[in-house]
Formats: sequence, C-alpha cells, structure tokens
Amino acid sequence: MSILEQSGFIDVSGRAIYGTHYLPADAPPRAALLLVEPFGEEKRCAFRMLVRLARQLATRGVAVMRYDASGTGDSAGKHGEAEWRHWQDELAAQIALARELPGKPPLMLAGARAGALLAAEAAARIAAAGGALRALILLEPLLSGDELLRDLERRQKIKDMMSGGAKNAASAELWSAGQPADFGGFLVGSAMAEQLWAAQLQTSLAATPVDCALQLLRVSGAKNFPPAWQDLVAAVTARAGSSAQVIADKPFWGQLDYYESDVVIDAVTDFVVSHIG
Amino acid sequence: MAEGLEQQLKELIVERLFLDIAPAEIATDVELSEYGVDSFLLLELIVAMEEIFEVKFEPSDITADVLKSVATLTELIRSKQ
Repeated sequence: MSILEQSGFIDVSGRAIYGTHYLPADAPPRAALLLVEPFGEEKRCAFRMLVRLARQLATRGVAVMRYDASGTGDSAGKHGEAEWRHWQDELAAQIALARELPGKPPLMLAGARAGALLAAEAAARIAAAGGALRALILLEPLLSGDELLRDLERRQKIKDMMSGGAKNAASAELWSAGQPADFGGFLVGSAMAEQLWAAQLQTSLAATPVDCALQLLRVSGAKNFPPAWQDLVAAVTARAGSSAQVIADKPFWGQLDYYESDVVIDAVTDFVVSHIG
Repeated sequence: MAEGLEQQLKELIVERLFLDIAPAEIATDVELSEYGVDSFLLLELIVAMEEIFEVKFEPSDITADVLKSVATLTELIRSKQ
C-alpha cells in the first residue's frame, strides 16, 4: 500500500505546532495512531526508528501522526520555556485532529519513554471525558516525571565527568532561583520540572478507558521486567487484549548513533494491526 | 565473594550494553571506556546495576574514579550492600 506524507503547523493557544501525518494513500485509514516521542536527546536518538514505525503502520492502513511539542523540533517556542501542561494541551489538540480524519477511525496512542507518560495522561483525560480509545502503547516508559529528571541529571553528570568539563550548578538550585537547568543543550525550566514531579504513569494508567487495550514493551538486554515495573506489568496484563513483553535489543533512545530496532517496529505494528478490528 | 560480584558485573555489562565481547575478556582493572562504554551506555549500566544489585546510585557516586572499571564499581556496590 502506498502512503502519503503531509507536514504542517496547527495553532494551539498561539503556539505553532509542527507535525507530520503518514497516511494510507489509497483508502481511508482503518485506525489513527498518535505517536508521542521521547524527551530531549532521547527524542533525537529515537527519531529515525519512530519515522520508520510511522511509515510501516501507514502501509498497513493506519494513519500515524507525529509532532514536535512546543520548544522542540520545528515547533514554536524555546525548550527552556516549555511546560508539561502545554504539552498536554498540544497532545489534546492532536487527538482532536485525529478524530477528524476521514471515516473517523478508532484512535490509538503510542508513547516512547517520557512520551508514554504524556500519552497515558491523555488516555486518562479521554476516559474522563467519556471518549473512546482503542489502544495505548507504552514503549520503554518512564514511570514518573521524577525518573525523567533523575535520568537527565545523571546523563549530564556523566557527560561532565567524561569531558572533564565544568560542572553545572545543581538543577534543584537553578529551579529554586527560577532559572532553567541545561541538560546537554536541552534547557528545562522550573515550571516544567515542577509539573513533571506530579506525573505518575501508574496513576494515569489506572484512569484510562477500561476497554482500551494496552501494550507494554521493555527493550533491554535484560530477560525480565525490572522489579520497579511489577505493578505496571500486573496492571497491563490484567487488561483484556493487552500484552507485556521484553524485547532483547539495544535501547533505541539511548545510543550515540541512531539505532532502529526492527523487532520493536514489528512488535508495535503487529499489536496495532491486531487491534484494528 | 568479590570475584563472584565481579563476574556478575562483567556479565551484566556485556548483556545490557550489547558489547561484542565475552565477559571474560573484560579485565577487572581496565577502564570501561576501553570497551566502548560511552556516556549513554554508562547511564544504562547504572540503571542496570541498581536493578540487579538492589543498590541506589547517588549523584555523588557519579565520578570518574567510581565509574572507572569493574574493580571500582564492585567496590562501590559492596559498600552499598
């Protein structure tokens, strides 16, 4: 099946948000999937693989929408001024757009790393509004905003250590002073940090539509899920039509070079196609 | 006991970081960077060590002296267990 790619901007509360749609060219989409990407450097690392995933899904009749949240990629705004609540609004706007696709196909959300946190929050909002969601896919999700901030701080500290460069001031001190912290060129402001501290995947997941199928993928050399994921795995596997799987492959979000996991692309594609109905 | 931990750590490094070498090829005192462990992989390794050895790395543990080799990491893990 041939596909059509369309890029452009939408306005969300005065912010120009850039996105790309990957559409089946010859027929109305059988489903719409919104892809919510990782944060900062992880987004850059995962970029190529997520584009490949979008294209592969489009060839299977699924309309896929990727976008840059404000302050990232080609969207308006500065990273250091971005806020999690703005990103929530922007995702809600993308969801509204997906609901208007020809034939009004069933909606699915997929989030990678911090994108999974955001996608799960959006799924909970859909449920609160009485809306429908066919599936929610969590790709190596971060369990909380706190985990994201801790990873950012650790990665920056490792970089400082390896480069022998000057140490950055402690991020907590910068945020207390209302200043952004710099994580490898990706600035995080105090408002973003404060809003991230409240983000909890498990809480959001519990509030998602009960008939929404869940796919949880861990991508690691490990053979099992980590102990910290125990409750998450239990919540996913208790849901009808859902699956939790460990994929033995390199972290696609955490390599110096781009890394594209064919196994992840195929696992997500199979899950999505099996839930189109 | 330390030898067992060192061996476990070497296996963890190869498994989690997808290094194309055998665990036995990692020398205990050789710097991890010699095996291609970069900043991304170091973070992955810290997360893996926390998971497997049930320890918590504090920001103060992230130093060149601590994250240098299997020997220095073994010492840190033992001090936390």
